[in-house]
Amino acid sequence: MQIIPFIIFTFIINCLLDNLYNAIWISIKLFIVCNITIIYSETTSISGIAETIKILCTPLKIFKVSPDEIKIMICISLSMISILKRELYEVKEACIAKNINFNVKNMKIILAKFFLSLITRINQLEDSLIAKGYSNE
Amino acid sequence: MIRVENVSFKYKNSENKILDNLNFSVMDGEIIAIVGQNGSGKSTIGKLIAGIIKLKEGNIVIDDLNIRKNKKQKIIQDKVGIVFQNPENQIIFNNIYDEISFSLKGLEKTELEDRIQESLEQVGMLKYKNEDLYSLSLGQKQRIMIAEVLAKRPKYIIFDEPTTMIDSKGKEKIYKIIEKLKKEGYTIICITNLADEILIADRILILKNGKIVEEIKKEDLIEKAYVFRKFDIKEPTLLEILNSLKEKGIILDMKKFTINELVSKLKGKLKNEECN
Repeated sequence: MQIIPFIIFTFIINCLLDNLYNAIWISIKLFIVCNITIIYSETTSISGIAETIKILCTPLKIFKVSPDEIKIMICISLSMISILKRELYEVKEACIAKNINFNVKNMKIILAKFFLSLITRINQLEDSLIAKGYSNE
Repeated sequence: MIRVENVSFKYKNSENKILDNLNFSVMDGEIIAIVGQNGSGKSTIGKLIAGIIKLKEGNIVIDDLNIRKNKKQKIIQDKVGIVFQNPENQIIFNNIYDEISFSLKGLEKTELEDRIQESLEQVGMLKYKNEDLYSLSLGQKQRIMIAEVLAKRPKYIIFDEPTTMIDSKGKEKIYKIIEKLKKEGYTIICITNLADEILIADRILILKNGKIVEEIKKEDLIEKAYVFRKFDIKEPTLLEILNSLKEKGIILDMKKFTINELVSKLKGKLKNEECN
């Protein structure tokens, strides 16, 4: 249901910039791709998704790109989504407690706080990776 | 043994040194607690010993291996494990098996499985082996992080405020793990600002403005309890009770500094008085 406004928006833009036939065709393709992605992400664990991407990236070894590192990046990024969602919710509650409305006007304050905690988290994750023996040397 | 000799450290954008000519040593098999207020440099020492931050001034020698002269970080990381405050910032993989095996590259599959099994048993988390990490509570996640360190079989383990974000029940479980690890021969450095965590240590080092201002052995805790107040560190509750009893003329010879020991000593004292 959440993807429908996005598909409608795409349909309208393509109608304006192109023709109706292409707009319908692109919207149908987008609808199918979004649904397949949703089903895949709901039925596959983060490790599974990362492992799949790692296997698909194996040919990149020719260009000296490590698929293991790509797997680590995907795992961390996907895991961070739930953590950052919760963090954003905490920022919102803190703003409400301080009588700051959680809206576009106050976005500068909200984003500053959010990115500060994100950078702290990244620094701590870096320390943890080094402690676990990960090195990009 | 770990020897910290004349270590000073300053962060890049900082004017003042966070550690100033620090000297101390950690004997094999002991637990030392490093306590101090926020910003005193406790976590920095932990990161320097674990080889996470590069040491530029002074020497840290771990079993005759000088960190500053050693270019291979892996050798240090095989000897020293570190557990940080927030378990969520240490997690890379959602799968427990992948997470623990990340630090164990180069091992054969059978040995890898044995080590993972053993380390999960040591922290009482074997039944959660097939669970997703993110479905666990913070205390359980922290125990998995401890298991990950134990799987590497380090000789030294640094706990950097490991229970700050955890509830009291979770804290108790972690303290029990630390005590169990001590009995198994691990050398532990516990960095903390929680008063009750001091009591599990054999020696307590008080850090202020980057220097060690006081060193207290466990057997001298009651006599030197005033030192904690002097440096604005909250005394453990048990110590406050013992000191109050001492002021009333009741002197108890404590060894483990646990509530059970206090109760049994008091019972013994009352029985003696009844007999007299």
